[in-house]
Amino acid sequence: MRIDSLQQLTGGTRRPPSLVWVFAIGVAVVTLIPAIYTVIRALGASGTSVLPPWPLFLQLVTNTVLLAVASAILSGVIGVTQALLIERSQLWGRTVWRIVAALPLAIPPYVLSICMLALLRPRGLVERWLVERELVAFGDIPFAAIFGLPGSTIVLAFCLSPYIYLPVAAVLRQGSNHLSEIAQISGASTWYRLRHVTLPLIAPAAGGGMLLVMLYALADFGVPALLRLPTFSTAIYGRFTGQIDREGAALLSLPLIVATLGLIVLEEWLAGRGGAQINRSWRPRLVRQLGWWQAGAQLLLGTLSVIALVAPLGTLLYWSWLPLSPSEQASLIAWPKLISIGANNIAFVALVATLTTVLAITPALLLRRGGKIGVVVARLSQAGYALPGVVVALSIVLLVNQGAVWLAGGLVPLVLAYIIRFLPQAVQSLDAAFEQIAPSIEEVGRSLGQSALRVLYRIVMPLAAPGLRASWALLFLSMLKELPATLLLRPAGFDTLAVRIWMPASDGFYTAAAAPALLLIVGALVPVALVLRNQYR
Amino acid sequence: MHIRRRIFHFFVIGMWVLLSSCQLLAQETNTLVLYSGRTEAFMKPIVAAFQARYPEIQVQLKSGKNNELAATILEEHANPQGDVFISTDQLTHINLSRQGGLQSSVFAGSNTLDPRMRASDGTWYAVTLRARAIMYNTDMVTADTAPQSMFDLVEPRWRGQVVMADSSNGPLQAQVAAMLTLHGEAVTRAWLEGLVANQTMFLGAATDIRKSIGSGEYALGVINTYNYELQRREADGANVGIVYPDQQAGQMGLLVNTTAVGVIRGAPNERNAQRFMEFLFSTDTQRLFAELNFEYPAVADVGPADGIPPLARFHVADIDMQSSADRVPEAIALMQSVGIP
Repeated sequence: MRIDSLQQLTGGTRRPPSLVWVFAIGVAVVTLIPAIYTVIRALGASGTSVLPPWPLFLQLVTNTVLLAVASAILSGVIGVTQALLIERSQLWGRTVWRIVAALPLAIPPYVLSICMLALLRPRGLVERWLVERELVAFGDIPFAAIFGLPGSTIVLAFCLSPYIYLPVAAVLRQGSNHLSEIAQISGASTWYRLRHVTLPLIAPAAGGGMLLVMLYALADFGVPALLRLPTFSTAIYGRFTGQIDREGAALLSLPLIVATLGLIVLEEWLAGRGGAQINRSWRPRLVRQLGWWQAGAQLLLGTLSVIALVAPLGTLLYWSWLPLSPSEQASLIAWPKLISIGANNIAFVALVATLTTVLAITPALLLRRGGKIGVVVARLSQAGYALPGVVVALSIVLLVNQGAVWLAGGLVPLVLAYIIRFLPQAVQSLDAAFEQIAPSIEEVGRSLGQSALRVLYRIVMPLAAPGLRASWALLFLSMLKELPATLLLRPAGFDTLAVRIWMPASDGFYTAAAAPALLLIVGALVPVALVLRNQYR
Repeated sequence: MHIRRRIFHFFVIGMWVLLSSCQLLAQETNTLVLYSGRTEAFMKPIVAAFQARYPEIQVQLKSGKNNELAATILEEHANPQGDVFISTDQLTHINLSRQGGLQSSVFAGSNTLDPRMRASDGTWYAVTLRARAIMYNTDMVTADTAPQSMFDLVEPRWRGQVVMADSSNGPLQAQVAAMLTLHGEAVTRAWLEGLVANQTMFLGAATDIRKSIGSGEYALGVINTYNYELQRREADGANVGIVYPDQQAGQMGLLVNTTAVGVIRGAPNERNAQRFMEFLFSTDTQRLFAELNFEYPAVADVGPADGIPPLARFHVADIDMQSSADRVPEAIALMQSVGIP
């Protein structure tokens, strides 16, 4: 037998062992079935289940789409501005700003909504403060504007801006500076370089981040529910909780599933066009002298962080010191009980994040090593992206109800919901980790007679370990903040911090939500630190 | 060395996983699992009083919306998790009982309760009563211009100024079901369409509704009577008035709804469920509902709190609960079809 190449010797490039295929297909089936089942139930919906009348339906579509697009654009502007100022200018306190710009990751959007409501709603803290000092009378300033689309957009954009800031900053720091240098030597102005060199360079990273924000905004439940913006998520939640039969909610999920699928296709298309890195060799960063603009830059970054960090944290801390009204006191939880809920929550989330990371390994491996079929299998396991938390919960309830009644009432449905909802995120970040490993290293392992499984265990996994850790941290963060699926699937006696925030806040008892919110933010700081460490390693 | 460190890591992680799963799975032995459709803040003092009486019983409270929990109970029928279900609307209980989600219970004093306020088979009992009323902000609406009927809320002068619950709210579902039995489909539909056309705001939480009237975001709204009593005792936003609507001859009268309670079929902690039922209808607890939350007690010899007008003073709508319960799904579908979220 003649051996043509190393590839032939190792049995195809880096073809994963069959065990990987079996697992990956299993994962894809588990994540896919609830989505398909929801669609089947929706199409078979009959009798009293109706779609909303045309005007309301149109309003839901408009609100949902506008919220997604507007928050993506606003968070894009915020994130790119922060990244440019921090990485490409002679900014004072760069290290501090790097951390500050990533910190909104630790603040769930619904917590920011609660704080904004308390501060800015009519007769809120700000208006009352102004009226007490006789600066204005009640109703002089239209505080009601906090409700609806403007408020929801601002809250989502500020909380989600790290999704754009982090990847864009990474590109600006690691990316090649050659083009920029050449442009400068050729006499291009700063603005010209920004428009024709830097922006095209960061466009793929920013675009990917903005798509993530859009997906998040399409699926988000807490913010529009608190700020009274009717969207598909809130409407589905209303039907899920408001009537005994589930078909009405399934019917309403259909348009949302379709819209999200469209976005994923768009994401795939954008990723395919991904940035061409001409030269990876390092060159010192080109930083712009700020001169008198330094104060302006500091002021801008400061204002952004006041809205996203200082305002919510200040409000929460203020509430923790405040004496409570009797009606508020009833919904308050004692600290020891709260800490036990927090510890339980963190243990649960850590377990499920670990489980999800492990499950994501096989689909992520197939993404680049499994050929065309591998990509299809991996993509199928990402169906969760198409399903907002409310819909994931609904689909699991429908399925358990039909096929596995004995699972009802336990923790299993909730664990399944977390896995289905966040597996795509894990596959995405694991893929990035596996991508970095040079094929030749694995091929050497195979050519030295090691089995594919052993190469995976001894070479691929250890090399991908930092990526695994980062992916785990992001999962932990997302699961800790998860609200709608937890709200709908938690068994009695199982509380998370998010639920403890939501219960009083949805009734307008904001102060009682302060303590669990502070605890959740503290818990979220640990994974944020892990993410930051990974970014600046 | 490297291998040993890895084994150590695995050991640590394994122990941690084991310990935390033990913590997660730890089951209290003497528990009572309460499914509650009531606002959590209103339920907690009652739970606290029960715990004070039975410190050895661990109460687990799961709060949600009436129909969400009713659906959960039906879904868990093979493996029931809850013991007692308390809702803000007896129609939910009537329908759940018909679908086999509740079991019969008898306790001390249960047969002395008003027969109209309990199931003949003992699957549910009314706990408290409240009425649907109109609350207005006194800075924006005067007593003599305030609407005197539910049907006045669709008048153009209230355009964009009315707030009420959305279609997932139990008492509103009961109200629409009652209006369907009293006035028929055409009149009720016209009223609901009028509300939507009048740019009424539909919100998910009762407390949010009363506070938004107190703060002047909306001039008036449809509430349960106790929400008015709670709002006028607030430090801020107490500037509210109430109309007990539809009192004229020929009008439908006050729509009274009840919170209800029943033992879930196959309740795992049946004895504790029984204790809780008995506790709910004790004089002390009924007084707690009256004085903390200004509801009308279901037990006849416990009166409402001081200053609360007794229901006997009003022209109360005469509603057949069984036929009203029949029409709840129709009421929900009707609200959804006219565009109420």
